[in-house]
Amino acid sequence: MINYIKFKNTLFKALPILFMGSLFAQPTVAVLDFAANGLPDYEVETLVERLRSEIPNTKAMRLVDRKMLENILKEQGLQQSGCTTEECAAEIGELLGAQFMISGSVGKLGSTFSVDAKMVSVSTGEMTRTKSVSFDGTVGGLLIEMQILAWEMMDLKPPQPLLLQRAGGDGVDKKVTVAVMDFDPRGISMLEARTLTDRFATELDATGRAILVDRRSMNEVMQEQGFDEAGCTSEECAAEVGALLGVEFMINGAIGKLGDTYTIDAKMFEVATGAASKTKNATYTGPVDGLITEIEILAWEMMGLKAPNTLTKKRKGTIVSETPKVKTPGGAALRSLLIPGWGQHYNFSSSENPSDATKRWLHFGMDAALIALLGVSYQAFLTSDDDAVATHINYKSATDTQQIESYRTTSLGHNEDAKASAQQTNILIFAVAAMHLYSSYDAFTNGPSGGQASNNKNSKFDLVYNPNLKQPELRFSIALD
Amino acid sequence: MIFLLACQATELDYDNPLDVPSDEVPAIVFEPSIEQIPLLSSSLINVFAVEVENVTGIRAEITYDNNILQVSDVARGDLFGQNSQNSLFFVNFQDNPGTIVIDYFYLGNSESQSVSGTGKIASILFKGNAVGASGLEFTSKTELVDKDDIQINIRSRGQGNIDVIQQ
Repeated sequence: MINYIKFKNTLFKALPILFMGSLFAQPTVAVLDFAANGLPDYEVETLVERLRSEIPNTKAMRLVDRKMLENILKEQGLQQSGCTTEECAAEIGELLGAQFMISGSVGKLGSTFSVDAKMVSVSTGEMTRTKSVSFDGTVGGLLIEMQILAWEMMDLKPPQPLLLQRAGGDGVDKKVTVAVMDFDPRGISMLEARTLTDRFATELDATGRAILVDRRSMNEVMQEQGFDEAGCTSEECAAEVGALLGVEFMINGAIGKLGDTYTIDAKMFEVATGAASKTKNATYTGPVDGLITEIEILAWEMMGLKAPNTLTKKRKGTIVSETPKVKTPGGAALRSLLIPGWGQHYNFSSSENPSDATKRWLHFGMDAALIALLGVSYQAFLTSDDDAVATHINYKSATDTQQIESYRTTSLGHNEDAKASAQQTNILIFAVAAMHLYSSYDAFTNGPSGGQASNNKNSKFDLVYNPNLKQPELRFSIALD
Repeated sequence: MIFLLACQATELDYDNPLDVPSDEVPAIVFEPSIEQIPLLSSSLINVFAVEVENVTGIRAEITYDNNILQVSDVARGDLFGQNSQNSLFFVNFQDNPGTIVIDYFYLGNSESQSVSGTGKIASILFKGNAVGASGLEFTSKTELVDKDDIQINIRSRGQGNIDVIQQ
């Protein structure tokens, strides 16, 4: 039984909550710590804390501060986990001025976790809602379940990103969450492009490796955020939409028609980094219905899978399918190391940066000039050295002192010339080498970045677009696999 | 790769035995001064007088290691001309203890019958009888004389070496 003095003190402490409660129409809810059955208390506390932190996101109820709850329980001489009955919860809820109380338990049986939660109405002392969750996996995976539980306890549908995260799981054959933007029509109608995009998305789903966001959900999010799908063609826009949808990857692309030839370009990029993770394109010449097969095959290839035989047998017409080689700074560096300017040309062909255009000729020209000088110098060295050796042979075999002196003088002269030419040649060799190294360095530092180099698993700095901050950021990444 | 490409001028030795510095003449030298021959092969060593003046007579006493080398033949040089009637040429070589004594003189004592410049005194054919290296040296008894039989100071006496190697 609660004594009167304690009740009075508690009432004073709860006054601010009561006051705040009068200001807002939302009902208030307090969440008690759940009882732990078969797993450590701290893990259960962490899980319940996740439930608590998700409740404000629902905007359905206001959460009573945990400190306040603890203070009241302390003053009443109660343990949170000891307050398991509806009556106890209702009493505490009354003291807190909360309309609802949530309590429950988290248990573990083998590798299965179970969460039981109940919500009690403080005014009536009745249970208004109960939810039970069973989960196979690691305890970490329960965090998402607790977030979803928060929405369900409010009798609300959990948001799509949460559901997608839950579906993603953490198994070995992890599925990726993907949203497909309508392919950009080029030479075909919007309707045709949408139809083909839908076919692509359907086949993507059929691969079993992707969890797709349906078009309706995507359109809803885009409309809410004021995006127009037709106008959202840039990677930045797509990344923002992807972040809002809570997907890991976005796929966009274009379908074009040139005479009887169709081109399909598809690009999958990571929403978190904005970097392209896979690019595929195909050129197809043949009847239109064959294009559908190509689109379907492309869906498998985008997921890094081999298309099933049933699909490949359906192929018609002539197909030129290729995966464009990913351009990397290393590739640019290697090219410039071989031929200065080649790496800059390689960079220019991907970036169209005018400075690369100038540099490629500048580097090539300087290298060519140095090599020409090197050739001249080396030729002079060879001539002088040959002359020195030939005269030296005469010097060695001569018996006439005047001839000996003459040969010696001449041979020494040629030998000096040869040494000077050799020194000059060596300087030019180092100059050429330095030119190659500098050009290689320049090509590397100005090499393809972002999407073009995203497949590189080496440690690297990337300038990427962060959709959360809505600004570019410099990111250092190390592949841990 | 760059270092492999680096080029270097051929190192040349200006060591013709007849190329004697001006402050060391007159000289008497072996040419070639260094030889390497297979066992039981022969080597022809020339003895030169370098930048001599008004010489009418020469005595060259040469020592060698008779355990390694054997003298096969000694031929007159052209220092005093090709015509053998103008000069006398005597050779006395003994393989034990390994000494060759060459006496080479101009006939008569007129001014015109002296020689100046560089010329060959003799050619010696050595045969390598055993593996090893043998030095060739002019002894202190080696001398040049003028028409008055007065000794001419020899400023430099060259040395030679024949290395006999196993085939």
